[in-house]
Amino acid sequence: MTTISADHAHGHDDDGHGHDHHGHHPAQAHHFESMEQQFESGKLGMWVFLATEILMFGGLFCAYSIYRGLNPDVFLFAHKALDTKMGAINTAVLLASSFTMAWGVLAISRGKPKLCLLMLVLTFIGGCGFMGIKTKEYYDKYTHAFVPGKANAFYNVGGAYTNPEKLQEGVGYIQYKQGHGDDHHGDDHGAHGGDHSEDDAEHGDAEHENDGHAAEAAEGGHHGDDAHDAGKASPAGVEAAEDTAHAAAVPAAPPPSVWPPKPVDHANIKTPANAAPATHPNFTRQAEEVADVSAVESLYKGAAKAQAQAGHAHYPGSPAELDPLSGERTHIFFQIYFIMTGLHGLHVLIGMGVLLWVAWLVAPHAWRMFVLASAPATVGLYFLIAGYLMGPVVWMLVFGGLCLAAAVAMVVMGLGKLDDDRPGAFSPEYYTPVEIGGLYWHLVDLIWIFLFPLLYLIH
Amino acid sequence: MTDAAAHTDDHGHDDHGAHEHHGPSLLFLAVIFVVLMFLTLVTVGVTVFDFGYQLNLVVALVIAFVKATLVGLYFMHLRWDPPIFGFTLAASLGFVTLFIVFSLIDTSEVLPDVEARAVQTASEATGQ
Amino acid sequence: MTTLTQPGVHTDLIGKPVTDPNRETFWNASKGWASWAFTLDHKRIAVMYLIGVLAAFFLGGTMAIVLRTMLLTNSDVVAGGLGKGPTAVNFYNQAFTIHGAVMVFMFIIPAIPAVIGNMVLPMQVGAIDVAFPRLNLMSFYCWLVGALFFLAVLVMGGLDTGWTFYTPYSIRTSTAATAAVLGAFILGFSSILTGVNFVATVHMMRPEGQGWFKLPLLLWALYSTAVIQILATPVLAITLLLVAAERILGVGIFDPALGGDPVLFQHFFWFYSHPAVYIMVLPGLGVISEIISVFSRKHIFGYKFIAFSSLAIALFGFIVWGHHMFTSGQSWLLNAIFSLLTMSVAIPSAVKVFNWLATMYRGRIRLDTPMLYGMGFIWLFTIGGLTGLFLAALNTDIHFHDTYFVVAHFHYVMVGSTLFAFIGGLYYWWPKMFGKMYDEKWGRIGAWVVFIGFNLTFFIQFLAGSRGMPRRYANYPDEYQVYHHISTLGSYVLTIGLFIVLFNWIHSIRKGRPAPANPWGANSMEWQSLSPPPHLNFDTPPKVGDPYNFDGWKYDPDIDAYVMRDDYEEIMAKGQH
Repeated sequence: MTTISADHAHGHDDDGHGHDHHGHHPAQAHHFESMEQQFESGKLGMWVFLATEILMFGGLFCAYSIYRGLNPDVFLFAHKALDTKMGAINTAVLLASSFTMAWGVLAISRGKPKLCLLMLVLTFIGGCGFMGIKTKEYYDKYTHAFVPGKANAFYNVGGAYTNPEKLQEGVGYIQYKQGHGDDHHGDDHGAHGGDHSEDDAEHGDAEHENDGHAAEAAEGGHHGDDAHDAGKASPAGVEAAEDTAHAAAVPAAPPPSVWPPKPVDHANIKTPANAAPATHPNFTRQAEEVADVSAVESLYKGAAKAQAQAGHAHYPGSPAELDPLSGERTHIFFQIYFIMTGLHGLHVLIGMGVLLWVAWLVAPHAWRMFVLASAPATVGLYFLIAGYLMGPVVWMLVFGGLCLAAAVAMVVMGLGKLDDDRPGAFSPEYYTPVEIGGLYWHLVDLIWIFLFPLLYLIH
Repeated sequence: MTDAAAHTDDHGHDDHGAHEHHGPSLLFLAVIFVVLMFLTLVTVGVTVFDFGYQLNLVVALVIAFVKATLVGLYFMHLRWDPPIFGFTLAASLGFVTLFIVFSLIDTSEVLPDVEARAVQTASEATGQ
Repeated sequence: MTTLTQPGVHTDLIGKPVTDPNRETFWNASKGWASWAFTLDHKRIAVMYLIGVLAAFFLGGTMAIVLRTMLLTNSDVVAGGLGKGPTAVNFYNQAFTIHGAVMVFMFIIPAIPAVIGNMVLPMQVGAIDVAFPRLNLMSFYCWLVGALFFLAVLVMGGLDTGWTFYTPYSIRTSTAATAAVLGAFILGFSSILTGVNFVATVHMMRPEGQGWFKLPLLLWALYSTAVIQILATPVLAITLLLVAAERILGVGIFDPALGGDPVLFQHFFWFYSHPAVYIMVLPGLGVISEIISVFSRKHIFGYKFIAFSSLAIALFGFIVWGHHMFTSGQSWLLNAIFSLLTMSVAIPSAVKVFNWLATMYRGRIRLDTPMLYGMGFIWLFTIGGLTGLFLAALNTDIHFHDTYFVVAHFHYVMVGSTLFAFIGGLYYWWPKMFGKMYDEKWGRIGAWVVFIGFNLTFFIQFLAGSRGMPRRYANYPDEYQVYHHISTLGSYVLTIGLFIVLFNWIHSIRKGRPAPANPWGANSMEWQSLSPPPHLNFDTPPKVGDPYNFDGWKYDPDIDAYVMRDDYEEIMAKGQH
């Protein structure tokens, strides 16, 4: 095979930009003619792969566009369940980790493997921070039944809510956040939303409140004809909402001028969905369904007040204020939120794995065991913290402890190898894995740059 | 392929070699990072202004595109790389756009039919 | 010296016998199962893929024969004891689903790129391997795991959604749809990895002197295919993930009961799956471009037109997906747009056909087995393509939609074209892959039987469909019986033909005479290596030249093969002007 390589190299003799790779770098694969070709091939391959990732997320952005286009009011309303502050912090965390990643690539390309290792570790910590905050957000959603599918707090067919007690809590949560802008974290379940949602939001009182509303619902049942129009009727809101007895009959806070850009009406349905428009209270006057709706609506009167007070009046304060047909789709926002952020989170996790692998390669052999130990250490800490905050949950604590023990054992093993003086795998001539690992990490950041405004900043 | 002498002057196909010599300085990266953080603040802060439902989305997306461009050009080195990489990125975005635009056209076009049908079904069901 | 050079002796490029019978080839370069299971050699991966896709073809083909046999009669008693009660009808639904899914995801999509492409693409750019050999191996294992998922589906209660997994039925069905969509998802990854590899290889691994317009047209076709694989497959991936999420997690993006939009699923699905039919047929177009030119002994006509028409088909393929949804509740505006855009695909397709015919015109045509398949391809592709226009036109499609006319159309383009190109291409590169010549006589007989069997099976379906026979039905009114009889008869003939092909291949491996380096006088670089090639592809670096200038080789009757002329490089240099 020497003949072939000699001849191929010969083919490049005359192009003049003689480069300084003398000899054959040990990292050069046999089927490449030069390190340069290998480096560029790796990058091209990565970029092509990134294109596939973009197309894959593109499908989700398409679904997002369609459902947002169909239900602008739903997105306006439901996105308030998300915590903008946390989203913004996470954006900053990812940007910072992107910066440290770029710094790491710069460092290794200038022959500073230890600086590069430091930057990779910082990037990894950034990933941990992102996933930690994400976990907190997911936990909040989960405890308020902001989940995909029929378990969602807002899931309803024809106005019949399947999870009424969750609904109270969820609405209270949203209204609390709405009444207070984004100044507070969403974790203290809104106790200030309004005279009713205040209580609704408290876990302990939810059941009691529900009983109360059932009574109101029964009362409201006979003027149910008006109830279905509540969401779209003229401004009347605040003082009327004080009166519980009339809650069902009186319009909840109206969505004034700005929202949505054009009259929604019930144009906002596309498919002849199984959600059977024929059974919607807009069209049928069946008492029990109307009772459901009015029960729900009576929940929101406090919200209307809070909304008015907070000056955020153009947000729909409750599903009942939405156009009836799109109101059935409130839960879709959460499906899209979870699918998009879930897939993105999965990519962050994969990226963290890549970072660890690259860091292992960058590190001098004496340190490699410590790099490796950071994997069980991270998982262990994650489960310890999450397990403690969530309960405490015993199995999570035990599992976390075991992981930490494994990490400690690996560190001890690593201490025995400190005299290994072999350097890391990369040099300015060869650092392709750092470069393409970095590209992947930046892509994860890029996608979040779009996800954040599209999910958290709807207004 | 073990003959080292054969590779005394090997070189890539194009003259975008010397990747370790081009590229950003640390200071430059830091400036980009600061700008990105600033834009994040802007995109959050701008939500207190209401330009209308559609325009708000446009503003948010424009800021996101600026941020994405900065990340792509400088953090991902597209500014210094051969154009094929940037072309790959642009092509993928182009096809995503194509996909979304066609699907949206369909959804918006079919809406009146479905709405009319829903109303008709409903009124039949209620006998009105 | 010449006394030794007789047919059946390995010879090098200038006709000298290769005396060492134990010379290193990629077959014997290393031994043991691990040397195959962990190989990074593109040629061995191609061989493993070949075995895999042929097994998948056998499985899918068996299902097809079962279907056709069940359709022999519309009465309650069917040969083989399968009645047409509910059980048998369910079985029919599962059989056509498995037939479609296995054939599409496990056979047609990987067949030509992963077998012929893997074998030939690196050699045609004079490289030692593809750009990312590990990804290449991973691609094969993705294929294998995906295939195992489909086998699991067979065991776990089958699948009856049709290969398209349309929602909401695919969310509701009690059959193993979750395993099937995850299997298809993994198979998609295999396809993506192949595409990434091919793009990087064609871009980065070409030797000095081989510009884009010195590439064999097969590489243009494979490159265009790779573009589709890269840009479309991820959308299938997210679609299938969403279906799996709907089944497992209760998400409802496509589920009307949860406010989702099932028509959106069809947009998602066909945004991948229409380009995917060009993943299936484009590599075949490339193979045929090679075969037609070589066996007409004439420079390909309109090289640049064929090259760019491959890219054009790939790009147009992305803007026509809505023609699958004319009757699915797609808006009339989009129906009209997609109908118009679909017509545009006819242009690059026709450009190819005209150029092949122009290549054959006044050529010295040799009707060897690959050429028979090549000409059969032109015939079938033309019929399949022209009937596609019927379906692209909005008004006629309303009539033909979901009838056997559609079935016949896509079998002509997907099976007729791709299968013919695949078999023809395998015959063409068989000597290079296995180092053995096949039996020419039985090769030709097989080609004719396959051709007749195929047309007998599917041409009649155009008539049945245009008279209203709907697809996917286990039963039918009496007046369609004659069509089904003819079609089933044809499918048996086709089966016999395919077995002739298979036995010919097996026979050639066991008893065939050793193949010379260049039995066809082709000029793309893989023929400048011995047959089969050594582990690192070339013992001496291949010479770059116009792949369709055949003047550099002269026929040597002693070895029944072509040998390189001494003044090869001058001829190539002259041909460039």
